[in-house]
Amino acid sequence: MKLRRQIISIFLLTACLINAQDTKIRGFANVNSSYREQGKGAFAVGQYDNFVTSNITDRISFLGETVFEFDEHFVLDVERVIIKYEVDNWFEIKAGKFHNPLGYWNNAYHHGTLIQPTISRPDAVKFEDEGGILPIHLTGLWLSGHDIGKLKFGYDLALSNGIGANHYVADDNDNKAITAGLHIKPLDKLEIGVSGYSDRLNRFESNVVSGDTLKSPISIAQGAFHIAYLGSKFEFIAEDHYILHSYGLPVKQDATTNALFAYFGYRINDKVTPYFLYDNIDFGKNDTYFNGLTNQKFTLGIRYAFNYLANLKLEFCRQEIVNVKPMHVATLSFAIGF
Amino acid sequence: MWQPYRSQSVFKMKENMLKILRHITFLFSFVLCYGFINPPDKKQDFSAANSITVIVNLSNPTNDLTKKQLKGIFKGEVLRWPDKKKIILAVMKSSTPIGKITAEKILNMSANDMDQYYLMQVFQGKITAPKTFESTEDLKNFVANTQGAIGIIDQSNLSNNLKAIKIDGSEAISSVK
Repeated sequence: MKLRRQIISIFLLTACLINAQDTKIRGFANVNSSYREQGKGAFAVGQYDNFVTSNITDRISFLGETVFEFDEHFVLDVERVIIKYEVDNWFEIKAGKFHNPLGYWNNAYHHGTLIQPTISRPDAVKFEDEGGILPIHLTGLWLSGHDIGKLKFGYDLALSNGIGANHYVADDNDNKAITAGLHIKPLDKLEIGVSGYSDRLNRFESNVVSGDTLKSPISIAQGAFHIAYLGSKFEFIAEDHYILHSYGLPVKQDATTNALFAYFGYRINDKVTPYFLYDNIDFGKNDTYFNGLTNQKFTLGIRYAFNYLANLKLEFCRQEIVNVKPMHVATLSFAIGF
Repeated sequence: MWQPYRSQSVFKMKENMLKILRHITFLFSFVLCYGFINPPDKKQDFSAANSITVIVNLSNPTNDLTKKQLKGIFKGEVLRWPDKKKIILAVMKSSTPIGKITAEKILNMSANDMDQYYLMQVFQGKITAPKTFESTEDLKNFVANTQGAIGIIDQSNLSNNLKAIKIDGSEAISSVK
């Protein structure tokens, strides 16, 4: 029933937008097949992504992204709802639910896997409901500017409900999260940037990772550095995230978790791109909030683009987790856009 | 400190990896071979246009742009004209000769990359999707009737209801190197 109501709401919203000026509806979908060592090979329907953009006026625009995905049952997730007021390229105000402008990948690639260079997102920037450790989605206000001056300077400043909040309508505490980021494009197709995120979780709140009640308040400070070059021959994206959890009384201790990834791709031609992705998450010893196991992952893959709206990706992945047997997975993914 | 799993013998691990690699080698080879056998068409058919020209609506007060500024406009880095009107991109489809020239000469990328670039920019919420056209006449009509619109056409198609913008002081850009 809930899903039906959500679908009807989405269609009503879409119908209203179609009547608005200049509305475009696009979609993305993917089908995966994976073979896991000592497991069973399986086919899987990936996410089915509906993407709507609409220009309401000369300065006001709308962007919506809704995803149908399987999570025990088929569920409908509104992943992005952004109302933007554009003054110029140097100042835009956005309100709604958006991807956290932390690092590069999270704001460059969203839910349509067609566009991202690999089948899965790097571990550091995995979605919250896939076990990700970073706040990927935020609800709030986002000020940004881009391509300012000779260095094509850009900035992001977001005020949001933060970790643990209901992503749509409410926050579970009075502490608002702040994301701030700066980036430059010194060369064509090269972006270098730094960003940070701060938030505070109260004692007795529910731990969004484990579901347990927090024994102490936690101040969260995250810092990220990124470099991305997407040239006609070489592709390179690297991000390094530091997450500092300062536990208040009665625990009173600090713990640092480091998550990084590096992606390399070599475009043999417009169609074929072999690539390599390295992931590493080093959980702090006393970081009870994450309570994760340090791991690293090596992914070797090849991408074949039929055109810009269809591609096939094949990946072989080896994951090593401390004190756990290494895992090997081969995955084939066919992604389309329409 | 990184502590890799050590209880499994190296031999067993290699055996498992080789087993999986055997399964995927065929698929990898197939995809690679298909890509090499059917590489993208490197030949660009520019014969239909010797020179291209940049057109805007007659009401647009801008007369001159540098090639760098033009690239910034078509990349969506510049969103507004000096009079603060929104820039609306009108682009010939990448499958047309003028579309290919727009990608190669203005954006410095392949036609396929141009399509992908615009898809990504729209998906990231950075730009409004460009209006794409298969016919030069349709593009001309759109620019003639839309304030803030900018497009690229073959210079021989320029008409009185459109304004040509000078790029680096010249009204035409050579479409051949």
